[in-house]
Amino acid sequence: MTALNEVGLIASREIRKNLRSVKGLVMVILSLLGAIAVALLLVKLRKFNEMDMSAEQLRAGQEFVLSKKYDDEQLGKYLAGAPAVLTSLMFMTIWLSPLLVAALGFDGISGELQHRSVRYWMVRARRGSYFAGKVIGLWTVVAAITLVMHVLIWIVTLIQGGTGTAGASETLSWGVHFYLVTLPISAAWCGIATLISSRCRSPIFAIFVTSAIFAALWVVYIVGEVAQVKALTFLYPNSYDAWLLSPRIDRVALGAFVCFAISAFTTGLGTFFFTRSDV
Amino acid sequence: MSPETTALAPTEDENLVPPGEKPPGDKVDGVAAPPKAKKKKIAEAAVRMKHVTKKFGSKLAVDDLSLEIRAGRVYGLIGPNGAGKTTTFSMLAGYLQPTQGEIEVLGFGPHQVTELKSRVGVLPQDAMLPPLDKVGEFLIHMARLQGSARDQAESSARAVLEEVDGRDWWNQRCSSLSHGMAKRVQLAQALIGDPEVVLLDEPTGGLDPRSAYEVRQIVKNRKGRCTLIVSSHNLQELEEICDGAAILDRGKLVASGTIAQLTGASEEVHIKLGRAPRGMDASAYRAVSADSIVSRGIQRVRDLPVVKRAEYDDEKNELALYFERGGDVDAETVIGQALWALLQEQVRISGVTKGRGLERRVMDLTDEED
Repeated sequence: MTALNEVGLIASREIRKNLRSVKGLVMVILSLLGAIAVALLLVKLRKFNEMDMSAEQLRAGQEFVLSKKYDDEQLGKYLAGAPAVLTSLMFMTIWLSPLLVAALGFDGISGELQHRSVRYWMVRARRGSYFAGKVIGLWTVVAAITLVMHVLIWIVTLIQGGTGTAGASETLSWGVHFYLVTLPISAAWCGIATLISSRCRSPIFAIFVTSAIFAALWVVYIVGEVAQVKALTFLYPNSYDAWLLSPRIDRVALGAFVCFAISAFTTGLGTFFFTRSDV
Repeated sequence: MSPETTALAPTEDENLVPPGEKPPGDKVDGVAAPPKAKKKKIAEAAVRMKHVTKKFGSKLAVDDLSLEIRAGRVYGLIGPNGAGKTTTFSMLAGYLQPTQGEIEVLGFGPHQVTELKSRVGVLPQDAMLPPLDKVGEFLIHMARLQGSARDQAESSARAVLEEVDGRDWWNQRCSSLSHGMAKRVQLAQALIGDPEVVLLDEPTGGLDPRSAYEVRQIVKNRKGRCTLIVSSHNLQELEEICDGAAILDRGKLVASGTIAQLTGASEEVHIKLGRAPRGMDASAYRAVSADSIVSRGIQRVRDLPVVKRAEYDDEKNELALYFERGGDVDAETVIGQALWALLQEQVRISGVTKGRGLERRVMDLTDEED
């Protein structure tokens, strides 16, 4: 059996386990609530539209805000063409991504270390396959939950007609685009979360450590932004959204590459430690 | 008292795979074994440990342990709590890395999972079954990881579940199983795919006597089909199912060999004497005076040419006979002659055992030094 087969088997079991657990169900419910929250935002936006504001004015406002956020006029102009609701949803899912990953992934390995269930796998699968399977399984579940949330909003957006001048195909095209942007970012978070989980022998400790490290990365990002130290912001996977959203394909590729590289690096590092540790 | 170190040399009859018997790992009882690893080595020794030491921080759990277990044997790891049994077992399974020394299982390092998968089955102690998994899907998953195709994995899983008498649990969640049921499912996953070496850590731990008996029968049924290494506190159980054993104490090997060697069954006989018959004066019967019945009986046994030495324990009312095996002299000959001598003096016999019993041997070897 190849390592790839082992990874596939372990990942598919991880998906099944997560979607079957109470925690997985809670996450699905939370994502639905998130979708409803965005739907409410949509209603607010419609009211905002009604305040004697033309589509051009609205677009100009969006362009200004987005250009400021990314410190990139070209990107701001490009994103201003997208329905505001979908842009908001994308920001929300990117922002929520580490929280979702932490909530779903903290016990991925730590839970099986605590109860020693991991031992059933250790005589049948390479430790690297086990680790990679856990990362991929977690990422797939996060991607699926995010997709559910996005699809709900696409539907609500299309039904309510809250996309301004954008038609259905344009809405869906932006929707899929924004959803795809979230994937490399969540992959990076999944790698980090699984690495932390594998270093903790109890899930309760793992959730604290994961939350603390994710929060620390966010603080580093804020400090980097405020102090204008770009290098610091790169430690925070969410910061790569600027590249992933870019109209330039080379920047998108670079952003995806870096995010997947973070995921691969943390998976490799986790495997390195896990292979050498007692279980 | 310092524990006596008696690492007994393996004897000729230690290779207990009878000639012509199926080599472990072949197809058995219609249960198709999954494809074996490509780099299969034929190892005469199923397990080899050389000067293995394991430390947890400053605590020495296993100290310079060397052991060789031949393929096809049922071998016990014995010792009191903290002796290093589970640590040794966990190193053999690849869960723990030795601090020093070398370990080989079927000629490979325990971490060479690719080479060992489906050739080694492990029942770890206290490893919880994944609670959300159904028994059937858990076993199929394990079989598939061992390299079986989907349909073959299912038939292997069903076969082992049947072997542990759990065919009705297929759709039950692992979290809903009782302790005894869970132990059997754990045993089933260790037996899946007919592995050549099966490591069982406390297979009957925490089970009621009936369940323990049934698990013992399952293990016994596997005898001859694979090498079984059993770690247990239950010495009677080990004496019953094992061909050989290693006795550990405080991380050190204090004795190893066949059960007969360890218990002295081939050189020692114990005769438990009965009490005085009703109505008879105890002192006239027991060995308190030279002319008592028991004293005369013991003297008669001592005079037997086959008996090298005879010791009488007045407290236990037990007679220990030591002899040298060889020629026409074996335990059965000594028992026959000794019983005849005792009966002639009208000594009442309560019981006879060959050797000291594993329990007493372990107690002797692991006696407190604290």
